[in-house]
Amino acid sequence: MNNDKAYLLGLIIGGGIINPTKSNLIIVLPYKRWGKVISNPIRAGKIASDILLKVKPVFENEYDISVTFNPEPEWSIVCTGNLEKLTDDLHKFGIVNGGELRKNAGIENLIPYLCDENLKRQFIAGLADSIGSVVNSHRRFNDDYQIISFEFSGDNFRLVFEICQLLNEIKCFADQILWNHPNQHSGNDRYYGHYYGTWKKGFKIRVLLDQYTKKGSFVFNAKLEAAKENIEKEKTEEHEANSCLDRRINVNGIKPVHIDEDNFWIPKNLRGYHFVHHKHLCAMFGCPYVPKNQLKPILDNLECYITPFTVITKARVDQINKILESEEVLKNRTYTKYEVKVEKLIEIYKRDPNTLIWGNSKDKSGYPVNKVLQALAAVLSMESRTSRGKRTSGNFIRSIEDAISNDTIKHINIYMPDKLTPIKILGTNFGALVGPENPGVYKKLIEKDSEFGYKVRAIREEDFE
Amino acid sequence: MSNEQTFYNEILDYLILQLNSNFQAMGKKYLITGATGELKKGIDKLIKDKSIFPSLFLTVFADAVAPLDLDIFIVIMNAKGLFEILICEIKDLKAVGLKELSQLIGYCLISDSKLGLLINVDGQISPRLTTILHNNPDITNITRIVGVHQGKAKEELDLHEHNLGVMKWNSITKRIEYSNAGKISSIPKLCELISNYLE
Repeated sequence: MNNDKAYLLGLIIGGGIINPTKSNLIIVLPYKRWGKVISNPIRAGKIASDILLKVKPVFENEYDISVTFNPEPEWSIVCTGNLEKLTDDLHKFGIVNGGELRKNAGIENLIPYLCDENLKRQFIAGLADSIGSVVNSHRRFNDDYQIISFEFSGDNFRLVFEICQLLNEIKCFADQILWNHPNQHSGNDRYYGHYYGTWKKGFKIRVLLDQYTKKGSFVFNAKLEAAKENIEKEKTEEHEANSCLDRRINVNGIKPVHIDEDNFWIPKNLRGYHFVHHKHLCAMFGCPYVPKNQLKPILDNLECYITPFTVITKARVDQINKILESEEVLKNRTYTKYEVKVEKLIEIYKRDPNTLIWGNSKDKSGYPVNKVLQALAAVLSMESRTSRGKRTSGNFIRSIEDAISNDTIKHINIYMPDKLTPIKILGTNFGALVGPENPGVYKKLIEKDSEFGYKVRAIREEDFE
Repeated sequence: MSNEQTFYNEILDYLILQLNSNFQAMGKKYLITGATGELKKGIDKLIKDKSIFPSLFLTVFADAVAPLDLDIFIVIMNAKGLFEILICEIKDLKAVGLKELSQLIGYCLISDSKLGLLINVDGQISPRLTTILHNNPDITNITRIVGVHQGKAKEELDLHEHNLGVMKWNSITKRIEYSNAGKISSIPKLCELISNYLE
C-alpha cells in the first residue's frame, strides 16, 4: 500500500466497473448535470485535465495501465492494458474484482492496509473525486450549511458503514447517513415503493463541506473549486461538525412500519427490523460512535414512534382500493362517509398542529390533524392537477381555504373506519389514507430480539380488543 | 520573499507526511525530518533541536558538506543512523526546463545526495525538457565515479548514484502531481529507492 494506491482504490471502489474478461476497467464518475460539457464547458475542461494530468500518471506509475476518458453519456475514466497487477491488488485487499465494485465491494480487508490517517484520507479523496457530490443543492436546510454527499446505489450497506467509519477516523463526521432502506426513504407512506414509485433511492453519507475541505482532500481541481464556491455561500463562520457521540438524536413524529421491511433485497441482518433513525441502522452494524444513551429511551418507547398503518398515503383511487384489499385488518373495515367541518379542523390545526382528532385522548390515540389536512390538500391538489408529483405546492392550509371558498372541497369525501385504522379521503380520481396513532395497541406488536433489533408484527383484529 | 518561497513549508510538510505514511505502510521505521535553507547549518540545527539523531554518519556528512542554499532538504534516517538526503528545488515558473534541472543536478552532485526533486508550483515542464527526459532517461539516473582524482585504482573507485524527478505542486489542492518524467516518477517510487538505499 502507498498513498497513490490508496487514492486509486478510492476512485476504483467509488466508480469502478471491471469488465468480466478483465480486459478493461471503467471508472464511472456520476457527475450528471454538474459535469455536462454542454451546460458547463469550463468545468468539463477541468475534469478532463484532472483525469489526464492527475489520474493518468498515477495509474501509469502504479499499474502500467493507460488511461483515457469519455465525457459522454457520463464521465468515465477508461483504463486499458494489462490489468493483472491491479486485479492482484484488488484480490489482495479483499475487494471483489468484477462488475460494479461500489455495489459489491467490501473494504474490511483493505482497512488494515490504510494504516495511518494520511492513507485513509487518500482513499477518501478517491471516493470524493468519484462519488462525492458537491452539487450546490446539497445543503442542510439553507445555504449556511453546505454538504458533500457521498452517494452509492445498490444494496451494499456494509460498504457504506465501513466508509462512514473511515470518515470518522479522519474526523470528517457524517452529518447524516441516508440508508437505502424503506424506513429512510419513505418516512410517511407504508406502501411507497411497493405499489408505486421506489424507495430504493440509494445511500448518501452527508458531511459538512467546510469540515471535509479542512480534514479531507480532493485531487480533482474541478471538485475542490466547486466545493470552495459552495462554501462561499455560507454566511456564518466555519462549522465544526461534532462526532456522532456528541450529537442529538431527534425523532420527529411517527413513522410507518413499511410493508417492504422484510423485503429479500434488504440484507439479512437488517431484514424484518424497523428503524426509527439513521443512527439506529448504524447501531445494528455495531458502530461504536452511536450515542446509545439517546437511542435507547426512544426504542424503549417505540410504540410512540411507529404505526403499523401508513402515516399518510397519497395515490390514485384504484391504488388506494388495492391497498385496502391487501391487508386483512384494512379489508375487514366498514367505512362511513363522515361529514366534516373542514373550517373546524383548520381551527384545531392553528391552535396545535399535532392535535389528535377522532380518537381517545385518554389513550393518546387518534388522527393527527396536520396529517389529515395535508392529505386533504394533497387530494385537492392532485384532483386539480396542480401538485408537483404528490406534493402540494405552496401553503397547504391556504389551498384548503381556497377550496372552501370556491366550493371545490365538496368533491372530496372523508370516510371513517369502524376501528382505529386509516381514514380514507377520496376525490374522483385521487385519494389518500391517513393512519391513526394508538400507542397502547401498537405496544403489543413490538418484539425485541437484540439490543437494537426491533420487529413490529402486522396488526390483527384481536389487538384492538 | 519570492513567490516560490511561500510554498516551501507546505511542500516540506506534505512530503514528510507522505514519506512517513508510505514507509509505515511498507513496515519501515525511519526518522524523517527536513528544513528549508542552507544545508550545513540546517542539519546542525536539526541535530541541535533533537529533530534527528546525531549519528556518526550524519555528523561526518554535516562537517564535510559544502555550504549550499537549498529550497528544501529532507533527511531520512534508519535505526542504524544511515541516512539519505532528498533535495527539492522549488520553482514558480510557467515551465521549468533544462536550466532548472541542471541546477538541481549541481546541488545533488555537490552534496552527494542521491535524491533530487524539481518541483514547479502550478506550472509545467517545458516541452523541450519533456522530450529530453523521455528520449534520454539516463539524465535523471546519474552514476558518478568517485575517487579518480585521488589516484585510486580502478577496482577501488566508488560509484555514486543520483536519481532525479520532476513534479508539480498544485497550490489549490495542496498536493504533488506527477509528470512521469525522470527516474523518480512518483512518491511511492521515491520511497522504494530510499528504502533500497537504507537497507
